[in-house]
Amino acid sequence: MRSWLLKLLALLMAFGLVAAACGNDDDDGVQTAPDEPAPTQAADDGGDEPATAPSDDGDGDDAAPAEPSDDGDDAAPAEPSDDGDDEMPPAEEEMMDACEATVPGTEINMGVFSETRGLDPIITSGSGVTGMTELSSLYDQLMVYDHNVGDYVPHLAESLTSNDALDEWTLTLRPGITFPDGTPLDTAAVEYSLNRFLAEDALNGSSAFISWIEEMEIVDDLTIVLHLDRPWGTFPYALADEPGMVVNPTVLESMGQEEFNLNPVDGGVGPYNIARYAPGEEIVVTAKDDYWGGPVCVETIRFIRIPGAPATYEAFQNDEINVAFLREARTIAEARENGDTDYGQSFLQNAGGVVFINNGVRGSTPPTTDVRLREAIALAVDVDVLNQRANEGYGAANSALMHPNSVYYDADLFPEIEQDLDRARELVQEVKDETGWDGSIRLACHNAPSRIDWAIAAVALLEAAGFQVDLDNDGTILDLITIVLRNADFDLACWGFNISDETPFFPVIQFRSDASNNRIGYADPNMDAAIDKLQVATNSAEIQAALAEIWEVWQQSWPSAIYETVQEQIIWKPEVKGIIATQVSALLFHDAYIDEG
Amino acid sequence: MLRTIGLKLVRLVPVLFIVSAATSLLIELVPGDPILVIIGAEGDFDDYERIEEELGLNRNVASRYIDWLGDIFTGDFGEQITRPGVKVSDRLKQTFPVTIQISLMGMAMALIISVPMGSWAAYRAGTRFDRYSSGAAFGIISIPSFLAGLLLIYVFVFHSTVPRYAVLILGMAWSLWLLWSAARAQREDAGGMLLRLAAAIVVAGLTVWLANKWPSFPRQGFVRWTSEDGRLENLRSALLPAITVGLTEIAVFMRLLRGDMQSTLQEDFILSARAKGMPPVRILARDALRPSSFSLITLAGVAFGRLIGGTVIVETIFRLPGMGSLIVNDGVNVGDFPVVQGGVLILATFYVVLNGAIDISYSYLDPRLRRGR
Repeated sequence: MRSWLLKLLALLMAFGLVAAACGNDDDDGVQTAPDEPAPTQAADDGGDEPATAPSDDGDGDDAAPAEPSDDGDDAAPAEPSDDGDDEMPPAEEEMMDACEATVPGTEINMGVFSETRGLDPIITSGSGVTGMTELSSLYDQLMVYDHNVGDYVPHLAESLTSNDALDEWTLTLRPGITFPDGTPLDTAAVEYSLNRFLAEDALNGSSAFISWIEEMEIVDDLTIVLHLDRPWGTFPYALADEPGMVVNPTVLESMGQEEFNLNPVDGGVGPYNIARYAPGEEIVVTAKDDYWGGPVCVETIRFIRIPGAPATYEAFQNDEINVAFLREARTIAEARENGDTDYGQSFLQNAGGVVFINNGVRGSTPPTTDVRLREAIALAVDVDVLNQRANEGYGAANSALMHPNSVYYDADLFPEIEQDLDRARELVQEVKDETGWDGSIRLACHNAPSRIDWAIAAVALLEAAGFQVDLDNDGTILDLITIVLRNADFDLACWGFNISDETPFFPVIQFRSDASNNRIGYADPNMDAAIDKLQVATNSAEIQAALAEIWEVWQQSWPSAIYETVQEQIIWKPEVKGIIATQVSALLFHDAYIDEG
Repeated sequence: MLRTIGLKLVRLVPVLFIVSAATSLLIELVPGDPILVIIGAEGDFDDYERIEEELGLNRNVASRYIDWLGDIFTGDFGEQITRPGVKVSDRLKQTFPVTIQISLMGMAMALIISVPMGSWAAYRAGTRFDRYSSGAAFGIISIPSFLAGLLLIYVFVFHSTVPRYAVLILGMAWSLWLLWSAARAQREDAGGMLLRLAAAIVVAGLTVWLANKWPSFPRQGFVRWTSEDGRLENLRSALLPAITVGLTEIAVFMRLLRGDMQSTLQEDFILSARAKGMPPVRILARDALRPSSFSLITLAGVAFGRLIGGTVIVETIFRLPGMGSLIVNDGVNVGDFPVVQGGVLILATFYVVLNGAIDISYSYLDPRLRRGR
């Protein structure tokens, strides 16, 4: 009996081992950070932060660089980080093949950075960070930025041309495009859409520059002339942003704005229609059968927001999403180490981390109205110390207006500000001696963990230069916005200008003395003149020259102190093809397909 | 009974009034400005006052609360301030089932595991099983839920081979132990031997099946019970969050029941049952469990109510669209008071009703209370 039992026992063990060896190992191949526990800061990513906003812990680093221009005269556009095939829109026939390659039922699941406040372009503000990718899939844009060309190209538009004075732009639409309900995409629809941004109660950030359109002259159904009240060389940007998303007037009028914001079915001419919008959960869009640009291969795109870049990246590694938006230096570095940035696109936000200095906004008289103190602050900053403290060294420490990876960078044109504590101390002492000021200064920041670390280092650096810093970083990012933007009750603040390569003009305009979004009260006629040059710049050489002049003036009047460039990295799986990365960190999916082969 | 239920429902009204009024006051004290969310950092701050007036946010808290209260009586929970056109009632309908399911699964898991373990630990007080289970309970209690969630993700999502092989090894070891005990029992008890042999085979078979069919768990997200993806997908997405919320409760319930049952087991009627030769399982399940479960039921009710409103950490870690994250992220953090008010009202109602039901259940557990009434 015992030997019988022993035989059975041996049989069971053998069976168990064989079964274990034959087990399903599908889920074992997940690559993860070696021996690294899951993240612990899922809730503090500052995820709902606008593009131009207080700097948070979603900071950039210096990898996946665009090719720096080899000479300052001819800045090349950023090269996509993959082989470029994904960025080339295939011809319709190729698209049909691509669609055949796409496995039925497959979908794109994208982890976005933050949730959009709605699906109406007038509600959503900004960039790929705040919902532009989702909206592009529904509406398309009149113009889009092509990273291969390094310029804006017509999309819904057939052409956009200007007069020599750059204050009259003629927009011609592609013929034959209709909304799903049959309403034509014509100049009346364009005028209707733009007028929404001109309305007094419009709350969109783009309204500020759309208000420069003083007259819209409809020539015919497909041609409209936009008369500006000032010259603007990169006006196509305006029509590549939310104002370039034409809404269906028929649907909007019948639904009303609130309903349209939640469920804009047939509201746009984009490749997708809204299928489900569950705030706080997901946005699901489904492909249109009759998209004007040809067949749309990927049937469904699901946009979800996973709090925190580490968790987003983990979901990407676990194949729960196949496109991910990352905006946190350490996670981007990890993705790069794992080779996951080989397919994707990186975007730079130059001057994304700055010590925002009150130059005397709204008649306030902080000590920093004295230019010597502003210079002292800039000279006190050690960008590497701040980077080490806030980003564990993974960020893109940089004290110049443009980062070396920017297409406009030239070492001679954009020299870094080197830390010079001796000179900073001298300047501080000079002001103390002259005015009797005791050195006290307030620094406002917010309570995200990396910003707390940043503030500790910033206080130490400033105090080493002779300041006595009163730090206020107890509140949230909204509290910081209240202090800085609403109350204008600050001396220094942690902030970001976010000057992207695709559209450097719009963020820089806040340094104009008469700009409505000049939040620091900075005024310098030389800066105004330099910005005017940027406003009329039409090509990259002119833009670079204007930016260089702005940087030169900056080093005379020190509006703020730059310490970092923020990088945004979008990654996708190798089998996801045809995604087009466009301006302000947004994606276009009309040519996307999934090649499982 | 109807009178009791009626009285409890009447008491609900002042409680909810006080809770909602207090919430209104508290949300005023918490930082967070919904207008800033609407305007954004790029917006024009000249619009601030206009929006404030349009939304009625410039009125004092009392008049806003009275307006809200009036709307509530008509079933209108209002609209989210920071998301134009989104009804709070829709958000509540969307999020409440998620939280309920996670909490229910967590509680069910906690009770299913803690009741037999706590009972057995009490019955075998002072033995190795009691010491080890108590030690494990203390260990589990000391793990905060956010850490437990992250550990579960680390093990079950990114290193799923580990639990799979652990199950295989433990199952096979159990099977071997059963075989061994069958071999030892052969001479005295042939029936017992065959039973153990059969159990060994079943355990081994189940172990191998489980190891082969080991599911992969998602890092984040939630598939709804009503989703076309199916119920299994729903359970797959809910399991790790449910374990996370249930884990601490397992340990607490077990410790509590062990203590109460240990006292009950000293009672004369239990000694009498033992003296009559009743099997231990019957004594524990039929005689000792009911009188020992007062504290457990009270605590389970409180814990369930707490879980409903307190799952924000778990919801954030696993990206679950539940009530906790709605109230905290879309309500408190941005000062969107209709969201907070509506969410708290629902939670408070649920909590009070649940505890009322627990009060009523006491009379079923103890006939003396029934007669006392």
